[in-house]
Amino acid sequence: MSLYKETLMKHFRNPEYKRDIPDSDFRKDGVNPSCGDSITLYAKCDCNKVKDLTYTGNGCAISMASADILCSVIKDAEAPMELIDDFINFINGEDITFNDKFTVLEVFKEMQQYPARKSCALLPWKTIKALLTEN
Amino acid sequence: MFYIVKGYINKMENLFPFLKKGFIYMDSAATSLKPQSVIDSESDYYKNLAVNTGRGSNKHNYNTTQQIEKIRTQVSEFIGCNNSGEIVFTKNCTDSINMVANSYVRNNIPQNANIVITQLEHHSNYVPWLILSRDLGIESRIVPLKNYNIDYDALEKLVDEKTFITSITGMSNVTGAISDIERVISVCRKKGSKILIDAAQLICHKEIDLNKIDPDFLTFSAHKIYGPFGLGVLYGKSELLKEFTPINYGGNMVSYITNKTEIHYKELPAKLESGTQNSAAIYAFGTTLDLLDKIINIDNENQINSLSRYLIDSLEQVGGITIYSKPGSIISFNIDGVHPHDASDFFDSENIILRTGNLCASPFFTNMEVGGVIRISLSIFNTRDEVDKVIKCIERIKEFFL
Repeated sequence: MSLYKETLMKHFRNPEYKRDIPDSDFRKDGVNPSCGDSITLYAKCDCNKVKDLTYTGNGCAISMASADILCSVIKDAEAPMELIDDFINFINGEDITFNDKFTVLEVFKEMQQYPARKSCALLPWKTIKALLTEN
Repeated sequence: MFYIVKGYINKMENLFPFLKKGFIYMDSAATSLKPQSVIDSESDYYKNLAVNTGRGSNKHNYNTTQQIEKIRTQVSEFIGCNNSGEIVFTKNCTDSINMVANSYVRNNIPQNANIVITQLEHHSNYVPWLILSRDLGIESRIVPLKNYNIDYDALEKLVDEKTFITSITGMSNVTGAISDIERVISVCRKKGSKILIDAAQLICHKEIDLNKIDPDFLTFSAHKIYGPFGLGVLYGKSELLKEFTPINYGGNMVSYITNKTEIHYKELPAKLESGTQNSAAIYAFGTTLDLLDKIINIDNENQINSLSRYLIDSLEQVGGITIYSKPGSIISFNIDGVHPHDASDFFDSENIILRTGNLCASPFFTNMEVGGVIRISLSIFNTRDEVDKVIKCIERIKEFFL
C-alpha cells in the first residue's frame, strides 16, 4: 500500500510524542466525526511559538502518525499557523513545497489520492489550529 | 453465479448490471444493487408516463396516478397490511421515523411519559428521539446491550406504564442480529406503549406479515430492498395516523382553502405527503415488488446464510479477529490491533466495496475499545470465491500491520 510509507509506519509503531504533559499551558480535544477517532493535544507555548507538543488518543495509523509528525515539526516552526495552513492545503491537493526542516511532511503526498482518508491526516492539525486560535 | 427467472438460467450480472464493473460488492446493507428491470422501470416512467401524478384533469394523468396508487396497494400487501391507506410514502426510512416522532409523538405525548430506544439503533432511530425528548423535557430510556445485542430483560424493565412509545430496530445494521419483535411487541402491549419497528435492514431478509406481528408503526426504505433511492415507507395504524399533525404544509396535501384562510386537507395518506411525490421511484418500486419473490426467498436466504457461515469459519481460521455477528447477511468484525479505516484502504485497493467505521450507530461503541468495525454485508450474488479474496486481503493486512 503506497499510502503507508515506512516513515509514517515508524511514527505509528514507535511514537515519540504519544504522552501527556501534566503541566501543559493548553490542551485541546479533537474528534473525527466520520470514524470517532479522538485525540488530545497538550501544548506548552511561548510568544506564539509552540515549545512543546504531545498527544494522546486512539485512531488509525494515518491519524496517529500525523499527530506524531505534527509534534515533531511544530517546535521548529517560526510561524506555526502558516505551517499548519500549508499542511492543510497540501492535504487538500495544493502543490506546496515544504522547506528543508519540514520535508518529512511529504510522506503524506499520497493522501491526495485517498480523499476518504484526508480527515484522518488532518485531525491533529485541525485540533492544533483550534488550540492556537482559541488561545 | 446464475439465477432462474421463468425457467431460464441467467447470469447474475444480467440481473444486477453493476456486477459488470469489476467490484466485489459486499455492501448490500448500505444499499442493495438494483436489478436491470428496476433501473429500466424508473427510466420508463420519465420516458412514457412523465406527469406529476395527482394533478391535472387529463386522462393520462388520471391513469398514471391510478397506476401509482396500485403500487401503494402492492406495498401494503407486501407487508401483510390490509389497508393501503395506512401506507405513507416518504423520502426514506429516516424521514418515516422523523415523521412519527414529530408529527405524532411530539403532539400527543404527556409530560410525565418516557420514550424507550436501544443502544443498538442506527442514528436514524436514535437521534430523532433524543432531540424530541430534549425539546419536550421528557425522559428517554436507552436499553443497554448484552453480548452485542439488545438486553431484552433490561428492555422489559425499562418499558413501563408511562412509556409512550418504544422504537427499536428489527435487524441491527451493525451486527445483523434480528430482533425478537414478538417479545418486544408483547411487552409494549402489556404496558400500553406504542411500538415502532425500524425495518430498514429487516425488510430485505425476513418476511414481514402485519397479520402476524402487529406493531403500531413500521418503517423502511425502498433502496435497501432492490428498489430505487428517494422512496421510504411509513406504515401506521390508521387510528394513529389520524392523530398526526403534518410537519410539511403546502402542495398535494391540501384539498382546497375557503375564505382565504380555512384550510381543508386531503384524506390520509395524502395529508401527510406534501409536495410533489417521487412517482418515478414509486413506479420503479412496483417493478421491484413484482420481482421480489424471485430474489428474496427461502433458497436465497439459505444461500446467503451458508456463505456467511463460510465467511465466519474462514475468519476464525485466520485468527486474531473479533467477530460481532452470528451467521446472516451482515457480518461485522475487527482485525485485532488494526484500525478499521487502515484496513479499508487495503480492501479498496482490491476493489472490494464494504463498510468500515461506526456505521451511523455510534451508541453501539460506547465503552468499547474500538470506535468502528469492518462490515461485510452479503447478498445473493456474492460467492465463495469472493469471500476467499476478502480473506486473502485480510491476511495481507495482518502481515502489514502486525
